[in-house]
This record gives sequence, C-alpha cells and structure tokens, in this order.
Amino acid sequence: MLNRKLAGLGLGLLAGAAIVLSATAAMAQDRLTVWTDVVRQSQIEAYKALHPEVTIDVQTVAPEEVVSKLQVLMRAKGAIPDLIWMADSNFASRLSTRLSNYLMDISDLIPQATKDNFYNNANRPCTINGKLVCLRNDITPNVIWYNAPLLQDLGKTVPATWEEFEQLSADVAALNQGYVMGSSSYPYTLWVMMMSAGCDMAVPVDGKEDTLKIDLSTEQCLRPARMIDNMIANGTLIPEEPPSPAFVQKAQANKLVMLVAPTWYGEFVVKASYAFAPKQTGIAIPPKWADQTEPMTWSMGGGAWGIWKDTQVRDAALDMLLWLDTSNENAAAAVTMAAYEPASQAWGKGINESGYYANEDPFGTLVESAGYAHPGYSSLRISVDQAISKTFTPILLSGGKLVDALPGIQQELINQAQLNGYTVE
Amino acid sequence: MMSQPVLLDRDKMKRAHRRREIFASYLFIAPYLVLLLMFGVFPVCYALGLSFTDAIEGGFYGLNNYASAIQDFRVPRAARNVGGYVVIWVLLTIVGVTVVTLMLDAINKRAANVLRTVFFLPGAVTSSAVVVLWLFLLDPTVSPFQGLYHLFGWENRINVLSGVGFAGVFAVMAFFAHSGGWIVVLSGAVAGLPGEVIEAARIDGANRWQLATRIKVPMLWRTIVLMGILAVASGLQIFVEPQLMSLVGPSAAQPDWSINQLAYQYAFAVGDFGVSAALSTVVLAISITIALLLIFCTKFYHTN
Repeated sequence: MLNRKLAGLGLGLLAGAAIVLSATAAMAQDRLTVWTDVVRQSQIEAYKALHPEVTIDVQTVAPEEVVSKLQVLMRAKGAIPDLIWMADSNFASRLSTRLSNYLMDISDLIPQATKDNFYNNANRPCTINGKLVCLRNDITPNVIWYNAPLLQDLGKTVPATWEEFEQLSADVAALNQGYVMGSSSYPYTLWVMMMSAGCDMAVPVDGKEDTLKIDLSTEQCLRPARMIDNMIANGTLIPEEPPSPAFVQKAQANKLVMLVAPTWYGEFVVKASYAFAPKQTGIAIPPKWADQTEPMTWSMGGGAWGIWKDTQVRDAALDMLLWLDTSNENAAAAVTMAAYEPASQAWGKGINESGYYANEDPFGTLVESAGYAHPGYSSLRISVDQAISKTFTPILLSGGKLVDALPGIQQELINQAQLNGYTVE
Repeated sequence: MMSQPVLLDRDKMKRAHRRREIFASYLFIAPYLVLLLMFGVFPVCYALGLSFTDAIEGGFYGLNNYASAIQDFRVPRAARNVGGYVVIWVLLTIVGVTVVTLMLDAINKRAANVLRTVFFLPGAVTSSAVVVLWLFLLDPTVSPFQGLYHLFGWENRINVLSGVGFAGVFAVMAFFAHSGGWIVVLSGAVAGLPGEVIEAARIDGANRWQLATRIKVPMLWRTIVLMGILAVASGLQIFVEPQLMSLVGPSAAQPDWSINQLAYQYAFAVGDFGVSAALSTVVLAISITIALLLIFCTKFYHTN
C-alpha cells in the first residue's frame, strides 16, 4: 500500500518536473512577464490584442506587494517579471540600490524627442542619480479644488496667493459655520503646503549621488508652517483626513470650501466620495507666495512603468513600456492624467466634455498647473509623510504647533536618510 | 529444566513487543517531526546563517549585520514599544484568563460551557480580521463605545489611539483574540484537579475565594507558567496589529512600531536579508532566554 502510494508520488513529481521543463522551454521564445495592478489590467489586454506576435504573461500584483515580492524573487532567483507597474513613486529608488537592483537604466534607450514631450519635471521621480530608470505614467501636481457655488455664496474668489488663501480661511472661520479647507493630520496636505515655498524637506541635491538636502529651519519652511498653525487654530484645517468618513460628511454637508489636492482628486475623491453635483467642483491653479513669480506645486502619487535590467526580451518590453506611457489610445482610456503631454490631450478632452466641472476648460487648468511642478519631487528611499505623521500627530493632539514640530521632523528625516544610505547636507 | 527456555522466550517476546511499541510511537510523531524540521527548525537555522552573511556579496560578514541592526535609530523605540506591550499583554492574559476560568468553575456547569464557547469565538477569527474590526470599535463616530470615548473627549480615532496608547490598544486586541483558547485550556486543567483535595478543603470550611486562591491556583501554576511563556513568545513577535494601523490612514500608520516590522522592512523594502535575519535572531534569543528563566525559576519540569 505504502509502496503504491510512493510510486504515485514519484509519478506526480515526474509529471511536475515535466511541466516545469516545458515551461522553461517556452520561456526561450519572445515571452514577456508583466506585473500590473487591477486597474491597468485592461491596458495590458489592449496591448495584447494589438500585438499577437508577443506572448504576454500578465500577473496582477497588489501595488503594496510589488517591492516585497520582487525582493523574494530576486533572492530566490525565481520568475522575475520583465516589466512592472510601480504605483508608488518611491519604488524607483527602492529598486535601484545595490541590495535590490532591479530597474534597467533606460536613459539611452528612450529617444530625446520622447523625453521632451513629457510634462515639466514629470520624469524626475524616475531619475535616480542622473539615470532614467522608468517612465512616468501619470502626473499628480496639486491644484485647488473648490466648491464653486459655496464660494460664490460666501462672496469670495479663488485665492491666487497663499497669503490670500490664509486670509480666506480666517474669513470663513469667522462665520462660525464649521467651514473646512483641508486636514491638519493628513501628512500629504501638510507636506504639499510645506513644499510650496521651497522648503528643503528631503530634496535630492543635483549632481551628487544619494545626497539629500534637509533643513527645516529656513524661512521657506517656517512661513508655510505658520500658515498651517493659524489654519489649525481657526479650525479650517480639521484633524480628520480627506478620505475619512468624517471628512466626507463635512464635504457632503456643503462645509468644504476648498482643498489643495492632486490632479486625481477630482475624479476619485470629489466626484466619487464627496459626490459633488455637476458644475459644483471648480479647479484652479495652485497658489503662489506673494514674492514668488509663479507657483511651485508638489505632487502626490503618480505611477511609472519600469523594466528589469536583466530581461531577455528588452526590445519587446521597451515597446510595451512606450505604448503604455505615450500612446494616445492608451491615455484616452486611462483613469488618470498622462505624464506624456501629447497623450494626455485625449484624456483631457474627455474631462472637458464631461461637463462635470464648473470651469470652461478644466483640463487647461490642470495643464497649466503641471507646468509649475516642483523640481524636487523625486523618488526617495525614505518616507517624508511618515516622518511628519510620527512627529507631528502627537504634538497636534496635545494642542501643539507645527512650527515647534519642525526640529523633530528634521531629525527624523535625517535619521531615516542616513539609515537608508543617503548623505545629508 | 524445560521451563527456563520458555521464560526466556517470553522475555524476548516482551522486549520485541516493547521495541515495536517504541517504533510505533516514533512513527506517530514522524509526520510532525518532519514538518517541524522543515518549517520550524530549518528556517531558524537558515535565518541564523543569513544573519552572519553579507547581503550583497554573500560571504561571511561577522557581526556586521547585528551592528547595523543595533545602530538603527528605530530599534530602541521599537524595543520599548514591544516591551511595554508584552508586559501589558502577559499580565492581562495571566490575570484575566485565570480569574475568568476560576469564576466559570464556580458557576453552574451548563452556563459555564456556553460562556466558554462564547469566549472562544473571537479566537476563531484571524488576527488581521480582528484588527479591521477593532478599527471600527475604536472610531468614536461609529463605535458602540462612542459614549465612553466622548466622556474622555476623544472625537476621532487618532484621539482614541493616542489616548489609550498603542501598546494598550494592541494588548486589548490580542487579549480578546487569544484569551478564549487559554480559558478552554485552563478549564481543562481545573477539571483535572483531584476532587478529594477540593472536597477536603470545603469540609475544612474554605469559602470560594479561599478555595480558588489557596487550593486551585497553587495546583494550576504549571499551566499558568506555560501560558506566560507562550504569551511572551508570541507577544515579542507582534506584527499584524501595528502593521495594519495604516488602514486607519497615514496619520495613524505605525510602520516601525515593533522589532518584527523592522525586520520585515529590512527584508522586503530594503532587500537587506542579513540585517532582517539578525533582528529576528535577536528576538528569538530574547524569547528563549525569558522562557528558560521562567522554566528554571519555577522548576517547571521538576516532578514532585
């Protein structure tokens, strides 16, 4: 009995080995393994339909698992994908270290004309120590999303400067109606405001490898921090985070005056969660500080596609990467604003024709904002958002000020940077 | 003359029988042993090896990985967090489980059986699901305990989390998830206590309180110590609870709260399996040391 079972097991193992062997044989042909998320699966299918000559193996991987799965596969020398979707802008730098060296340097493989067609600074998060290691899929500069009818009822206009923005917050706070203009605990909101004046909150130093500038003691940092403190004090920045149920309630109760948030907020948060009616949502370019000639806006998110440095099917992977990032047919169907300017037009047409936004030309506003993208928005191996939360949340809860939290945040950033092998200036 | 060989034969048969029995018992534990070696002992040895290996070059790296791990600025804070959590949780488990078990023993049997099952139920839910459930329980806008939270002036979830303290929140979460199983185990031990001793105590005039503290607990200490050892071991490995705090939102995220989370980050975010293994090995060493201390200090394996 046992012998028969063992024999069966042996046969099973043999069959398994045969399957593995035949699979290896098939790999030798032009076979591309692609990792994507659920949202972008349809794009891969579309490319497949256009290119029947390439065998594409699609695997759906949860965005937060991409780096960890790759680490295990690279260590175990398993089936490493040729092309991957990186939802987090920090993946590019995490996958370009000596310890986890996954991404291919594609600086010389992408034509200059193609590079030039990307929006201003769009590929900065794909540039690690001067090398282009991925191509940005979508851009996410922060803009002002405002409640157009509410602003009109209040007799106010969209602020062009941060000084006006703060004044507006003081004015609506004085009405005692519980009006909201953002979140005090959401690290991204704070980060975006902090970066607007040119604060050196972990910004790479050009021309120096793995070097970050971290200095939160300058006026460029103190100025936005004071504004944030004033807005927390007057109650227009609330502790709830913009995606949280409590914040959504405020928005639906017509208490949200405006919010500085990235390009994707309109479709994914304002329309989907806050359920603003058509023509209720207005878009405006991000504010500048009075002494700036033009705004400088931080980004939040935006994914990229990258290629494995040791792929056996480089040209096929490159072709697919370029189609995903730069083709009109893909961008038109995409859910976010393409980083490639010509391709983004198709998406923009859809936004303008939807008639949902209060502006005449909402896409035009997004394009103008993209031009103001902060040159320091890049891929880092540290989390600035976590440093802000970890240091500031306890201080916020005990009624403290962001201005007083800055030295702590700076120390946390320096510690994180040094731990991850950066030189700090 | 004739009887001698027969006796010898019988002896031989007895010995052969005994040998067969021993063989059979090994056969029975063999599957477990194989699995233990594959998924318990081997990974530990592998991690131990990794902790002395250079993650890039692959060669012997001495104690460098341990040095990097100790120099990490997040380690002291994570160690304090885990230490605080283990103290709260182990005390909560030992006191809570013992009290509940003894109280169940004192009430009507049928009611006790029903209650034991009810206590056991939360343990049947996986800990990740428990955390998600707790995220709702801790939110003053939706929680059934919102009255209590408002009493403390906690208006939103981060107020509650920082008000109670993360170590306390995680300890309570873990207590409700695991205590049910221990109540069942300890109840089994209570049921096995010699009836005549308890009877004698009762005749001597011991009330329920004296019966519990003077008679039952001293006879149950071995199970209670075992509970303590296992609680310390699993408490030191806390991972899921703080890791899932990011579901609350970025302002409550605790990615580097515990040592195991740091080990996870080293391996899966940075790709440095060496330092990751070093951290894990240290946690294991601490866990074994505490277990040995408890075993020797309480003379755990001494038989009377």
